Amino acid sequence: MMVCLLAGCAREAPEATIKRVTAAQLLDVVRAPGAQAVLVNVYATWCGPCREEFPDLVKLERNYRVKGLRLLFVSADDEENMAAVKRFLAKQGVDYPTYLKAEQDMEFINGLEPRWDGALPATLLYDGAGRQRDFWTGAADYKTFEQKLKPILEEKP
Amino acid sequence: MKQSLLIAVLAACAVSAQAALKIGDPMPATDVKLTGEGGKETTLAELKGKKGTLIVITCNACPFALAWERRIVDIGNTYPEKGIAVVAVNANDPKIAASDSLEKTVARAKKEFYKFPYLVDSTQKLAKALGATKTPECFLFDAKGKLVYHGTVDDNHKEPSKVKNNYLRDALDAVLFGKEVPVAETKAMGCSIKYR
Repeated sequence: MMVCLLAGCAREAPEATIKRVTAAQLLDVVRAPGAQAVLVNVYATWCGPCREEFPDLVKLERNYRVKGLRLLFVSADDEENMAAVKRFLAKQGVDYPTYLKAEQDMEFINGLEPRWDGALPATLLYDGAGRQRDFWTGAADYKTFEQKLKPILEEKP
Repeated sequence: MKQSLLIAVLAACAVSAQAALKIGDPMPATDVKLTGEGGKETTLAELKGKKGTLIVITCNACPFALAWERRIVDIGNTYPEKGIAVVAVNANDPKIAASDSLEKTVARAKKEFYKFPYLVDSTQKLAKALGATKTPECFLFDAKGKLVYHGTVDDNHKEPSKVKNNYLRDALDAVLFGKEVPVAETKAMGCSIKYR
């Protein structure tokens, strides 16, 4: 404590890491062992509905992390907006690994979900074996996320 | 209270992917009334072109719609004289997105020098009949009213000079010259349409 006071060290808020990914690389993270359910949310910092639902997703992750939820936020922002993405994630209290789309839209969209036409936000739900169990576009709320997630978390591995 | 209402509205808008119109499908909702300046109503049946009709579902604030707007306006200001009608349609519910009111849509068309109709689909019937989910989203119909192209404008919303594939222009030119559209379906990121 004294050392800290003398050194003038301030407590820095943990920062989310942002990794550039292709759809194929993202699906590798989805399928990595260790989760009972994986929720992928593709958002953009400038997208109103994305920002609306974001706090509910953050809360969902906090509440269900211990039960096996892995939440993967994927920003569709342009790479030059990385500073805005970092600020947004910090403001939302996200301090775990997140992702940034790193290929052309059409490749990324078709690589992740051929039924997806690119509307944001897009959310995909997978079970622990990496099988896609749900997919939707447009904003949702905590209750909706929870209703979709809980049955998968309650399944026996 | 207001915020919880907005969240409830947004939650109600969460939809599973809707089935979009398929290539070859006829132009739907040609009798749906679209509203323009002064509340004047018109329909696709009245607007369609001799050689084809392009409908662009767009809006006034989505960053992707704005990024492509100049290119859309360039197309809209030149292809009608070649025989392909161009109609920009704003289907967002202004109660969710205030920037997409009729007044603001009319004002934007004037400010950005649209020489073609930029109309409001206040009932959202046209956008729903098309299966549109985002802005901007383009639907090109040939002279017979069959869908021949559905998708994005080109492959680089951000930098026009770096576009490699002019999907929409290629499709328009193919329709003009009676050729097969080279790439009939494309995708790009966009903003969800604010359905009520």
